[in-house]
Amino acid sequence: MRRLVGTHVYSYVKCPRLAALDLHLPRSERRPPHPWEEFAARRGREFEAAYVQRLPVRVPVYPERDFEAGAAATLALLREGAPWIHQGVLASDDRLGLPDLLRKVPGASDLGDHHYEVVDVKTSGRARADQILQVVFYAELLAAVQGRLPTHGGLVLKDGREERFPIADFLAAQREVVEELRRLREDPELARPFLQAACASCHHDRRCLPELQRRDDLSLVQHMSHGARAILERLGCRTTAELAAFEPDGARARGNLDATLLRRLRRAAQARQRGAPVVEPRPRSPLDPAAIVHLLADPFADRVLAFGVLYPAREDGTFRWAPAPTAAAEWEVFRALVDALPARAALLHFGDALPRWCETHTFARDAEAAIEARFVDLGQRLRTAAVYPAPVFGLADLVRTALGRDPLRAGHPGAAAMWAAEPGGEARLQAKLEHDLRDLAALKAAILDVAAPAPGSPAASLPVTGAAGEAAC
Amino acid sequence: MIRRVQLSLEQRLLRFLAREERDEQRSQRELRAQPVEARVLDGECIQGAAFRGERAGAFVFAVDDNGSKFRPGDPVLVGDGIDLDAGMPLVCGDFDAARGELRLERDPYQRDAEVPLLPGASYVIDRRPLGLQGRLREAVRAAFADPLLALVLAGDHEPQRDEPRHARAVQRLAAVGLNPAQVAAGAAAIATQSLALVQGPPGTGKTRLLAEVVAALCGAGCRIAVCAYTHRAVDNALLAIRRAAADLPIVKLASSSGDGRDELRAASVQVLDARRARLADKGVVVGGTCFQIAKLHESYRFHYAVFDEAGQLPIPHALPGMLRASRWLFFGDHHQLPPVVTTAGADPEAAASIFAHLHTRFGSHLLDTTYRMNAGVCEVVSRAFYGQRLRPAAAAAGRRMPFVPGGRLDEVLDPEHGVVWLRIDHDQPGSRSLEEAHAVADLVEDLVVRHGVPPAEVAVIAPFRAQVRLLRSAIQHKAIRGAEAVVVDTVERIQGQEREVVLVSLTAGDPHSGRVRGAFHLSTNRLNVALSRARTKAVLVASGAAFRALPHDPEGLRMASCCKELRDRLVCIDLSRLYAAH
Repeated sequence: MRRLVGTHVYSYVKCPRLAALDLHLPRSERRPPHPWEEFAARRGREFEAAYVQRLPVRVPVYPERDFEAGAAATLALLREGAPWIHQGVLASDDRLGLPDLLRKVPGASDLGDHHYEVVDVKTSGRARADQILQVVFYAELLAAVQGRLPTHGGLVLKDGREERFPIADFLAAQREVVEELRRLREDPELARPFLQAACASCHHDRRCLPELQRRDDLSLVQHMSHGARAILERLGCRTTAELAAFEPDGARARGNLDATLLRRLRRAAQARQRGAPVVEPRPRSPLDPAAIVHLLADPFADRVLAFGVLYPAREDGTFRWAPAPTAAAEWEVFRALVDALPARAALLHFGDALPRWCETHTFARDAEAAIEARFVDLGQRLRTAAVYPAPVFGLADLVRTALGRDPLRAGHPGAAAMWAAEPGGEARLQAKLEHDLRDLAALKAAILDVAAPAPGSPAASLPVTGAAGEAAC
Repeated sequence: MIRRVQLSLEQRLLRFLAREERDEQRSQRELRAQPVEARVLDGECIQGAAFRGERAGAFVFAVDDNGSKFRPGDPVLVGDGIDLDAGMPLVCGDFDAARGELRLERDPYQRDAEVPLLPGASYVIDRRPLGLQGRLREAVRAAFADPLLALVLAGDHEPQRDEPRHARAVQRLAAVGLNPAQVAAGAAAIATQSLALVQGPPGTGKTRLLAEVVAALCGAGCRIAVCAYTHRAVDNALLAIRRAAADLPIVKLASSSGDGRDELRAASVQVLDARRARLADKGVVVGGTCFQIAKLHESYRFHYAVFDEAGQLPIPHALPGMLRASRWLFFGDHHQLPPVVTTAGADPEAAASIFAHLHTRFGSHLLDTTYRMNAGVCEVVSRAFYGQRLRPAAAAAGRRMPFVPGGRLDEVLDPEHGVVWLRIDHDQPGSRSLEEAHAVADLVEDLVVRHGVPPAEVAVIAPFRAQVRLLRSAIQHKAIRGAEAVVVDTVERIQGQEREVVLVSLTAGDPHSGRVRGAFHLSTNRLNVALSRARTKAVLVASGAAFRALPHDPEGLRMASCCKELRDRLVCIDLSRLYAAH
């Protein structure tokens, strides 16, 4: 029987299918990490090492992968009362925990007049549910060793700040996750794949995505949810092809699904059959004059690497860009690009990275906030303006699905921090920004600038080239 | 290099206000750019509304399927759903689910607008944006320029109390029949030299205590401002004060006609326009929302600003009232409904209520005895939401709902179990569940017809307005005599009320949608308010899937975890087993 480890908890929160495959498949079955994923992992390890270096830590010594010996060595350090234990081992019959740090705190336990709590070191900017559940998972294992549950757990975030939280507040959720993991350990088929945003970066993508395609799974339809898929399957509608022709009569025949939702899903399935997006009738909402603004960021360092602007917001518009050499220079670089645009031009952007970045700066620098009023999220507009032949989570999905282009032809945006650290990396940043901006302009032209059909008239269907309908696959 | 911008509380509040304003404008703008069906699914639009004609001054539309969030009074646009600039501005009226009729009325501020509706024609009804924000930014800046207020907001203040006044207050409050916790909290409020907080869980007599405290202070010649987020909450507080003191001069500030004005006048509460009001120099109670209080002449100041339902009052909204006084009394409960916040992922410190913000810095006096809930309901509520510090009053503890055994739902309605979970497994995504609506309608029928519970003593609560409509429709179809008296609404609309029996429809059936959107239906504050409306019986109607949500944000996960604990403690009755047995 394979033991449950903290990573399984982490995976389960992301996707139960991911946890099931992690539990049942050897590591060799996973997709090897991309270079930028290795780059990020290395920075994470360096951060943890730098943090731990400042602490008076003890490390249990044991033969590699002999976790029983590791647990015994950890117990000895716990009893000894070491102030900090790094990479301790906590084990039970069916669970294994390797917390980053165990910290000695006052309060009686089986160990004496002290006990320990779990502290994990993370490279994220704020605490997440999966990280908290992992700490609670370790805390329960620790409770079995020291005879009491620690009252708190901690997460060290990338700015070095520690976020503490009461273990009891999350215990029920953690126990439910562990129960679910035990069920998945027995039967991995309890968790079926479902196409979602995280699939694009999952190390089991080469297994799940072909499986979904082979089954013509309902999750390949835009707007599909787990609940709707379950209801439709119970009604005998199991593939996107069947959904495209599914016209039940009455609430019972549609499994009580909301009629509007079902109509929408059916149209999305029809778009999939057709292999092309269908522009929907919608209110007039002109976006010109407008520029498209885009950025590449280093999430780990919490800073922008470069900004790019395309004006006018057409594929043949003028592209300008500027790298931000330091965090302190970001605002000036951005303002210089924007100040060169017409004063009232709408600033089209994709997603919430730019508004979030801008918001911090406008307040920190007491700068005028009017610039934020010019922001329009192209992502939201594009997602709702048409029915796509596949779910569209990010820019890459839209470019692939609606334009039939390879969105990663200038590289993966996650690699930007890695490029910036390499000689000649600026050219790659520039190329990536330009490609993304021209793709956004092409999407705007193809989806948003198409005249909306009059109510009652047939919706406009767009011709596409390339492998449309294969978003994230 | 890791950069982190440290903002002061003032900056965070200003940022929060700016984001609220911007996000509200942006969401309206983006909503108006979406296709009709997307707006319908968001509950912000009704498609296919056929105009039937004008009736008693209202425009009547046939609406087969109203899943919108519109409430009476909401401004709407009627048109083709595409050219929104050409839409006709009207105001939402009542929706008659049985007839499938929606009534729209003329907008009192746009009476001259033409309404060329064609009988029989089909229209799209959209939400119309309202003007936003007032003087909150100025209030934030002014508050932080005030030395004492700045210290209080930062938590760098040591509240002092007047001991002789405290001793007198204890005597006075004990004499009017308050319980020990109420006396302690009320005396602390009367004797404070700066601020005091009173936490009043459901049914613990918070508003009565507020009235006694205000009556005592006003009787001593003080000018008192009574503030709340809504006019309704202000009116409730003023009426309670009138009951506590028949001869105090009480003024309600209001700039337009509103509900409840007759009730106030009947209670000898003077209703005045804030800009023209001439108020007494001493011994007067002036009620109003914080905006109304701020409209008074700038030279007029109060000895005390008293805030009711302070757990729902955002910090910036409290500041106009706080700026008018030198002592502040807060009555609220941060475990009940929080402030309404538009911005997703808002800064939690800036988005907190004034009560929650000050509670973490100064603590509060807890009223620990509920006069509403019986022992069974109180036990569940107290354990899940109040760390077992809430107990029922002796008179309430043993109360039971009327019960006539022999029905198929006996196991659910057994009065021995204060709160039960009626499990009805389904996978409905979104905000409607017909399965739960039918089950709730069956329960209402059984309660009223078999057990003789008066319809007015039954409340049905759901987290989503779309589900509320579905529930109303399902109950109407039962044709139960007097069923129109059953209250069916969202938690927000039912706070402050109580009923013998409460049925809560959690609605959600897809745990995965909660991962991304946050599990709104598992908000512990809302569940607390919903269950604690019940005097003797609460039934939680929910799919097992509703509890399996694992939100990605820590606060959502904490609440979901709390709800999982609650689920595990409840008596669970599976509806399919129950119906199969009959």
